Amino acid sequence: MNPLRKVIASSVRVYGWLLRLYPREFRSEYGPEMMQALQDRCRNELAGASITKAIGVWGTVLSDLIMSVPLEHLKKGKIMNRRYLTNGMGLLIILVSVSAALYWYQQRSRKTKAHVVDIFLRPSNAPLTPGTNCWSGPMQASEKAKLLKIEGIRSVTPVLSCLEIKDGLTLVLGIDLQSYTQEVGEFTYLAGRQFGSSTADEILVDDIYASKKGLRVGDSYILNGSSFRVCGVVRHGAGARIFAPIETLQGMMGGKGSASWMLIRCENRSQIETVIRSIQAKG
Amino acid sequence: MKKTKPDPESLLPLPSSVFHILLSLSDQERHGYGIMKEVATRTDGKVRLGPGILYGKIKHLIEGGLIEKSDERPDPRMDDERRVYYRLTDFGERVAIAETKRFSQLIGMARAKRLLSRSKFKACPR
Repeated sequence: MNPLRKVIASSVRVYGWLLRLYPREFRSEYGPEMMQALQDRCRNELAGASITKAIGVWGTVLSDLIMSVPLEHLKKGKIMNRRYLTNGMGLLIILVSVSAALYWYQQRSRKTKAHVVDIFLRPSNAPLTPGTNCWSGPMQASEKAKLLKIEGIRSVTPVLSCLEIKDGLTLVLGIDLQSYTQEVGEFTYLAGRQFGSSTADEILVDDIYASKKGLRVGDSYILNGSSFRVCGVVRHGAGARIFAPIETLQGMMGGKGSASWMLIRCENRSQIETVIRSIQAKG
Repeated sequence: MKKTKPDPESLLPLPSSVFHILLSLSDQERHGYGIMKEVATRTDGKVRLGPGILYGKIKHLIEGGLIEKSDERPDPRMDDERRVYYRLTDFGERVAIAETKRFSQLIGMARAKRLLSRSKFKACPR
């Protein structure tokens, strides 16, 4: 069985067991639906994700249990029963401890594992550093489809990079937000939201740059002569100071479909060397 | 004897999670995960309802006559006998409208006082 399916099946089974914490009437009426909702959520959110993401889902499930179980018992009026009170407090302490441990593990994993890719691919004739105040896109983003055919590669995301000179050097990345965050790690939004689906003139800035420049969500920002709106502030360490939709930057540099780098995630870290050799063999 | 529904205004203000559930059902029938997903998407992930809280609210809303179970399966691709779809009742719609009007009045008052255009909400000077 595929490991993800195993995780989902086990999660639903454990959740089914935890539903015993709810009053019998509530459980018999909504238990199957609640299990189905959790299964749907796991299938939807864990597709192509890591175990850390599964732990994140469980963190929210446990916090939901901690809040809703006492509420449902209160509605039944059973919480005042001494036996229920003692058992309930014991279970609550266990659930709080497990949630805290999961939260700690998730934060630790985020710090140590996020924003790391397996392979950083750039053409051999490309400069090591991105272009300054000019967009460097020596590859075609369509190479992604060819790379995905190589055995051992799980995902690929194209990135268009630039160093902007404005009161210092600032790294700007044009990204496909969904595949970039799937591969490199989820952004932590400190304010605002991700790029809108229909607005191409939005950028994300990290908290260090936002603080340095006094930028807030809703502010306008001039990037390479074009005006952008800051739609979100993300925690630093995500790979650059400024992020914009890759299509927007491709349009600005007149290089439709161009990319500077490809960030590659392998099915398994032990396959990295094999995948590198396969890429080199294909030229 | 038929139970009469209370005045929608008497249920206001609605808890935020309840209003989000009613809003998510205002355009189509949805099952539990559909509601969770719609609420998370519409709020940019700021409001996330877990199964326990969601079904507790659903139970409460059904008892209050604001929503009801639907026998139809609007999404046959996702059909499963365990998936129960919910929809707004006429009374639930009236309550959601009343709450929306209340919010609208509040926003009108805030606009009249130019709350959003005050300097501290504007961008910081460089």
